[in-house]
Amino acid sequence: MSLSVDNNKAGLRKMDMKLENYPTCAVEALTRLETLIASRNKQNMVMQIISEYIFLERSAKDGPLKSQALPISQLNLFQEFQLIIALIEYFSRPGRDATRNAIFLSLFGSHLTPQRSKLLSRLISTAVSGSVAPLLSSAGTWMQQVGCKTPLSLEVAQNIVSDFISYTRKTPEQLKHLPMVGPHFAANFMVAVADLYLNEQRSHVLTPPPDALLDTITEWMTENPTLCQASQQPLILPAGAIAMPFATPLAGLLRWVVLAPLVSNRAAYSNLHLSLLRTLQQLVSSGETTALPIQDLMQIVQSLQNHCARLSESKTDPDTDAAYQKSMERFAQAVQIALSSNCITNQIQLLCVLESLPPHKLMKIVIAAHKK
Amino acid sequence: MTNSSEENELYMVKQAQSLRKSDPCAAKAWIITAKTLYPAAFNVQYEAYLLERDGKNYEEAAKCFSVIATNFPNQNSELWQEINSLTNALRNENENTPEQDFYVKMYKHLTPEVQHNIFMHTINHSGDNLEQCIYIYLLMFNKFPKSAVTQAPRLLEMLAEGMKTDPDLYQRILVEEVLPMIQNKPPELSPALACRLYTSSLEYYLRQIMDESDTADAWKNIFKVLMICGQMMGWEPFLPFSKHVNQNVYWEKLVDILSGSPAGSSQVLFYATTLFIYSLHGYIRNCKLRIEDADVSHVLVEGFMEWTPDGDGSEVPSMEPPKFSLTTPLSPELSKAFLHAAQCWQLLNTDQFQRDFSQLMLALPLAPWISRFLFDLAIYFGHRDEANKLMSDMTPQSSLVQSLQILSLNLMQGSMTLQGFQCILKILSELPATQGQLLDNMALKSHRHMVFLPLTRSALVQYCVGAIISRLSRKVYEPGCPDRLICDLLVLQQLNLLNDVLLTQQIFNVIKQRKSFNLRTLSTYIIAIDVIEELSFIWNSQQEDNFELTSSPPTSGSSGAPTAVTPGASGAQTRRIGTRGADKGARDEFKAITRQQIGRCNENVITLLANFISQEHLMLAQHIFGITQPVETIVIK
Repeated sequence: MSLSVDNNKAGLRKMDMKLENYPTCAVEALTRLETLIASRNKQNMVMQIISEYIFLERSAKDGPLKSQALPISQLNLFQEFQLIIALIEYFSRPGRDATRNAIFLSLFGSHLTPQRSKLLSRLISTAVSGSVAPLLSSAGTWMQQVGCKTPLSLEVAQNIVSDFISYTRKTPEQLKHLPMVGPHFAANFMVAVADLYLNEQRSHVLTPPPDALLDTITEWMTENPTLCQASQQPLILPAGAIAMPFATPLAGLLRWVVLAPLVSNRAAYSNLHLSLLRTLQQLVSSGETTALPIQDLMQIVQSLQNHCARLSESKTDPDTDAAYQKSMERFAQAVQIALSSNCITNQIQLLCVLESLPPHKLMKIVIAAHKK
Repeated sequence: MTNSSEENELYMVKQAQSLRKSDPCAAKAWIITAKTLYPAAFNVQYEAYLLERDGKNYEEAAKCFSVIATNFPNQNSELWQEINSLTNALRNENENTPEQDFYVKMYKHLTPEVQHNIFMHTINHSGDNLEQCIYIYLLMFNKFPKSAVTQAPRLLEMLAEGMKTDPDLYQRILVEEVLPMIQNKPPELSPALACRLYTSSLEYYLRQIMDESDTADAWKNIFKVLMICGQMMGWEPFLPFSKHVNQNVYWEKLVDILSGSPAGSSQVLFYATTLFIYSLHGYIRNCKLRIEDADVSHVLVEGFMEWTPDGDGSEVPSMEPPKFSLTTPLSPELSKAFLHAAQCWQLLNTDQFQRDFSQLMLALPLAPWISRFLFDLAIYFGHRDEANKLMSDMTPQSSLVQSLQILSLNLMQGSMTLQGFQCILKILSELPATQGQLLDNMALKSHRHMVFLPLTRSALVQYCVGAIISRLSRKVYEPGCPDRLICDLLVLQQLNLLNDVLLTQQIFNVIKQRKSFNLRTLSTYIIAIDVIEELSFIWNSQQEDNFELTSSPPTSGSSGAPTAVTPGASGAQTRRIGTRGADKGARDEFKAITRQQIGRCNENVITLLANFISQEHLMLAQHIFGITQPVETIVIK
């Protein structure tokens, strides 16, 4: 079929793909997009087709699409369900990763209507529970391209936690096996989910992650020692797209284990801490130097300082505060291993900040060892 | 290393130790950290290993162990303890406790280099502990067969050393464990050591042979070890062992090797010694046979020589060695084994080997066999004095065997002494229960011969009877030989009338020639139909010549069987059964006695004769030695 712009649109209209025929038209539209998406100058049309035939979006005034107005999807609940099924089926079909990733990025860019982002969260949850590897792979790429800690990604992560952790008694097997099914997605999910908990910048209180989530993450980390590096694999993107820098969950999870003693005494943190140390040790051969960005470490220091401030308010000596001692023990161990593996830039700056914290024996040893 | 870093290192290890039980992950976190700070500290590395060991993480533990074993090989008793535990676990891999199982699994995760190093270091550090050192060698050879090529000589030297203090243990290790390992590629050893190892193996197997009944495997092994040691010393290979190979084949091979070897060469010494012991063992083993569900030993005794009146009488002892009489089916094999052993013995006692051989014999646990063999050898060669001397040195056997051997020695010198006669009585009083069978060829003409006598009732009585007959037979030819002697001989002759037909004929001739003959033993001891028939024939055919046959019962003074001649007659009364017709009653009486004795023909002649000799021993002694006896009723007309 020859596809000029007009022809194509006309063809779509002409054929049995009438909007009333939903979701057949959406499925047909996805197939057509595969060819359109390759050419850069047809992006507008791609967006139009997606909006019109897949999400059934109209402008608020019910007229033809206007670029400024926020479009509103006409999908009813059942059609939304149909669309999710159609997308799952489409992504399960054999095909090129690059095409699939391009279509996913076109369907769900970085600025989504609330309806689309809600649909995205549901789609990904469905893919997780169905272990749909190709869709999860595209979702992983998407997450990295929009940024793991952006509200959109956090929303997706939060939704997964809700679906699989908060509202179930037992963690489903599908979530446990996520690192095998979609390692890239799992790694990026960890980056996002690490940001949600034990993060004073976000909530001003240290909220520990749900126990089941902690256990799941710990299990992932102990059983898949290379999981944190999964996000470093090169992305398969449409031609001309620029890959966004990857993030590892190491810094976020380190914040968890270091700050956890202040609010929780769960044994799983000890386990998670050990697997983090092992991961850091293994990084030495890969020569990766940005595994623990200095600002993330500073954030930990800040939280520890806040804790000490609270201690001094209650006239408690940090030396006698078991929680602080445990936090410092883990922090010092991680810093030592990270330094010996060259995972930290700005070493001197970090050591100076660490020195300003109320003293801890191991931290002193570590600082002394690296200040020479 | 400064004091403070030592202190810090200790601080971290202590932290880890305090958490080892309650929070192993935290303990490991401490150790991982400490390892990056103090990679050269044994404490830290060892604690890391302990954590993995306690967590049963074979792979991680193996990594830690490798680091320690590679970097700190020469220190720390803790490490040695672990190495000991490891090697102990490896030594009995199949019956390990779960704890030992851990070591076996960990071992599998070590690199071959580390594995090998562990063995070598252990060996080098085992100091005085010879046994442990040897076991580690074995373990190493097991795991690294190639190491055997270079290390085996040292191990073998250690074994030789160990045998000085505990021969049982180290011989067992040598034979059961080391030799199978090196047999395919024997290392080069000093001749002295190789010979010593062979002697030790031989000693081990001989003890096994003496304890067990099935010994074919032991001999197969002995020949195998001989082959290995021969290889070590570059000897001409001997033949492999097979149960079915005739010993002649071995002997010929030995002669073959002997002819190509310098005098006193050790290969001949060892091959001949082995062959000697093999034949000797065959001899000793075959001396025992199962008869009627009992183990019956055979004893080598002097055979009898038939005396004939036409012989030259001068009896020059022949210089030729005696023959073995084919008395039992076993005799050929026994005699072959004996002669082979004797051949080897003679070869080994020539000047070229004698010194080394006697040393070898001292080292081997063969004393009971050798003394038996030497005694038999002395009998065989007719060395009476030596045999007498050896008998006093021999381990005491049953008094039955001893009596038999003394009797045999007695016969060897040609005349029975009183001691010999006493032996006969002793033998008869100790007869075994096993009946057995009469032997063939117990007495031969004109050539000295040997008999393997099974210790059965039949054979023993036969031998005793034969001994007496051979002593008395010539007297039958002397004029004026008393009736008593002749009829006693006739009783004895019942055992095997055909054995010495000449003698039987002579006895009947003498009876016929006499006008009157007192057959005192008729009613008590003569039951053989042939004898009774012959007597009846004489009785009937001699009637015209007024032949008188008297049947006088044994004197009441002796403990003989009650007379069955005339129930009404008094015991002391002499009965005459003449042909002169006057006493018709007597004629009937003779017939009655004849019938009665025929009726006894199925009685056990062996028991009968044994009783006869025991009961009539005084009379027999008189016959033999001429000792005066209390006069018994002898009537000659």
